[in-house]
This record gives sequence, C-alpha cells and structure tokens, in this order.
Amino acid sequence: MDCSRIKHLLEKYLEGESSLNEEELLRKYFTENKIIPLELEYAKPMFCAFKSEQNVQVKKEFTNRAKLYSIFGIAASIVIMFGLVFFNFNTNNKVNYITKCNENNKVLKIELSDGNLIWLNKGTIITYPNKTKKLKNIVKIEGEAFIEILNPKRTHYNIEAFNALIKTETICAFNIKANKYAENVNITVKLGGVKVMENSVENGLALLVTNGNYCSVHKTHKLVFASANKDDNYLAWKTGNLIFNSLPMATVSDVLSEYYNINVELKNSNIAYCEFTGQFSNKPIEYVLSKIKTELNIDIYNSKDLITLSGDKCLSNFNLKQ
Amino acid sequence: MSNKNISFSKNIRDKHFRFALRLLENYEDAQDVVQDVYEKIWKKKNMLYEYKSVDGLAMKITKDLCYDRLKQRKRKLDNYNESNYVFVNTTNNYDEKDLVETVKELINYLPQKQKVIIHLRDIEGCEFEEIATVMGIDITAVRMNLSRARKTIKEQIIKIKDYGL
Repeated sequence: MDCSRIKHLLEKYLEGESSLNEEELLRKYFTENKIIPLELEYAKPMFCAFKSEQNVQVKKEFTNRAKLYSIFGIAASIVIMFGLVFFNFNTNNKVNYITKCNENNKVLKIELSDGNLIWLNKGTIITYPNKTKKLKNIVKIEGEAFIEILNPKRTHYNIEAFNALIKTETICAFNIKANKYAENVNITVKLGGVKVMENSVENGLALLVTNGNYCSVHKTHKLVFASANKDDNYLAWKTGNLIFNSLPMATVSDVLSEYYNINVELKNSNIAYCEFTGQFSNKPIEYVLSKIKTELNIDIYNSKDLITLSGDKCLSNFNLKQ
Repeated sequence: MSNKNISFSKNIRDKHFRFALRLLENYEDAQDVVQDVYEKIWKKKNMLYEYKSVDGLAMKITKDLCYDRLKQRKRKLDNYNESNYVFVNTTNNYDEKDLVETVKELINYLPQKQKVIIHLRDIEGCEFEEIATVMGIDITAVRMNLSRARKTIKEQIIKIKDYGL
C-alpha cells in the first residue's frame, strides 16, 4: 500500500470520518509493517495498543451467586440474633461508674466486682465500673495505682491515664504512675503483659509490654517507649520495702524524697556517685538516714522539711568518679 | 424470535468485560458488572424480540451499570477532563513497548465520553450507530468525540517522542 494513501486514511481516521473497513486496513498496516515512514510513526503505538487491548479476557468463571446470597442471608441473620441478645444483655445490666479519691495517707485497696484488685497510692483519683463486663471495662486513673487482674474470666480492661491507654487481655499485674505534673505516664509490668498505646493517635501501634519491662508514654510528645525495668523500688509505695542494690546516692536521694515525701538534697557532687546497698522494710526516715550515715560516713543535716547530705568522700567507694 | 438464543459466546462476553473494565478500571468490579448484565438480560428473556440486537442491549446495560457504580464510588473521573496530563519520562528513551503501554494509559485518562467511544470503536470495532445507541447521543457527536480522543492521543505521543512533525 502506498504511503500517500495511508496518510490520507490516517487523516480521515483522526477526523472520525473513516469506516470500519478503512480502520481495519490501517490497523493491519501499522501492526504488521515494520518499516513505517517517520512522519506516520506516531500511529503505530496507537494501533498496537488497540490490538493488544482486544485480547483482554475474563479470567475466572462466574460464581453461582444465588447460593452465595443464601449463605450471606443465614450469616447475617445469625449476626443480628447475636446482636439482639447482646444488646438486651447490656441494657439490662447498666453499668455505673464510681469515682474515688484516696485522700488518706495510706494505701487504699479496691476490690472490683469480679475480684480483681487495685491499690491506690495517696492522692490518686480513680473511676471504675460498679459491675464488670466480659469485654471492655473502662478504668481511669490519675496518680499512682497497682492493678492486679487475676480473675481469668474478667481480663478485658481499658485503663486510661492521661494520654496513655492500657489494654489488658490476659492475667496480669502492673503499676501505673500517672502524676499530674510529671512529663510521662509510666507503666511497669510485674506479671503477664499489657498493650500500651498513645490515646490521641487513632489506630496507632500498640506496644506489648511484658513482665519485667516498663513503658513510658510522653504526655506532650505523644511518644511511647519501652525498656527493661531497672527500678527495684517502683512498688515501694505499696509494699513499704526499699531496696538499694549498690545504687548511687543521687538515685537513693530521689527514691527517698519520693517515698517519704520530703526534700533530700546533695550538697556536693562528690557523694552523688557513692554507692549504697541496703534494704528497709517500713522503717522511718530517721532510721534509713542513720544507716546511710554510718555506712558511707557522710554528714546529714535534718531540718524541718529539707534533708541535706554532705561529705568529701565515702567509705564504700574508692574509685570516685569526679 | 422469542426463542432467541441468549447464551453469549466467550468472545462476546469478553467484549462486555473489556468495556466494563475500561470504565471501572477494576478487575473484580468489571466481572461483577458483567454478571449483573447477564442477570438482567436473563430476566428480560421473554421480551428480547423487542430489541434490535441483544449484544447492543447488553452493551447499553453494561454502560448504565458501570455509570451507576462510578456514581456510587463518587470517583471524580471527570477531574481528568481537559486537564493537562503530563507524562514525565526520565529516560527520554521510549521504545515501542513503552509507547504501547502509554497509549493504553492515555485512553484511561481521556474524558469519560471520549474514553468510552474510542474503546467501542477502536478496540471493539463497533459501528457508529451502535455506539450512538449505547451512549444515547447522535452519530455526529460520536464522530466528534472520537476525533477529539484520537487527536489527543496522537498529540501526546508526538509530545513524548518529540518528533515535532
């Protein structure tokens, strides 16, 4: 076929004036010829594309829909029945929430209706349901609390503490420290595992924190962080046991000031690195301080609400880190 | 005519499937639509003699069902209308195969009407009358849209290949 005829046909084609027969000619020409004049080459990919699109086929055979519909129908009716049952069940047992604040100077123990236990540190506010359900019991905590979920039939709790959301699904025991003025909400797991997530980020990742680990949720940065727990005294508020296992005095003073709710200050940085070992069980602050004094040979000044520790070096450590 | 055989051959079924696929750009949806089309025709089986061609009827139903689905999806396909679709080619070295794929893409980027018409004409080889009935517009409009679609594709190819005829 000569070039000018093709060119003429192509022009007709572009105007939408060509007949099916003419288009068939063009298709043949462009898909079968290898050598095409440069000025007409643009038409080759067009006709090749049309031709290859003609070969698209249905891959799978059609399913028998009538059967599927009936199965869906049965499935849907079962779902609706279950839904109704649950709806009635839930409305009949309406859940009321109780809010409590531990204003005493002692630890308060709360037993939930299902036997699970919550201990509250002083000053802690809690909101909890008077009746627990099988799924999703909401507990809100501000302050410090230790939660022990040992009833295997009632393990689903959502515990909210500021922006941290803790979900429990199995038997577990953990401590939540969510103080109003702290930057973080800390969760330390003693038994089992809990899921911790940041509440404001929807569908975000949940960290599974298992026993022996702790998790920290930052209040403003919305970060969730988990690591191995190295703090032996995280439960001191509940047990009254203080354990110092070659801890530097800087840490010891922090633990003491938190546990006894007093200010402990180190006068000079020399003694900050002195390591102290000892255990106390429900002992008054004076007893602990005298023990430290004799052990490390440092001076202690006890004024009304400030305890100052000072000294040049300590007996127990010879390799002081300056 | 009432005993008209409506069991479509595989070829014709593929044609309807391609048409639905062109409009919906989704394999599963297209298969669903084709199945729906046959259900509808099956229900009309006693009235088929009223229609000139069962195939044409099937195409019309396919188009209507696809349009319904597109409306449901609320996908603004028309957003592509007249917009300047620029294909960025980093290698500047298109071989024939790439261009063929590009043409397939270009068809999908055309405005809805042009896309349907160029599909029916250049891929399925339908007559203008057929297309006009499926689309519900007159033949002149079909020719005009077809011409626009073909020219757009041509221009885009030239742009890509940088021939500068």
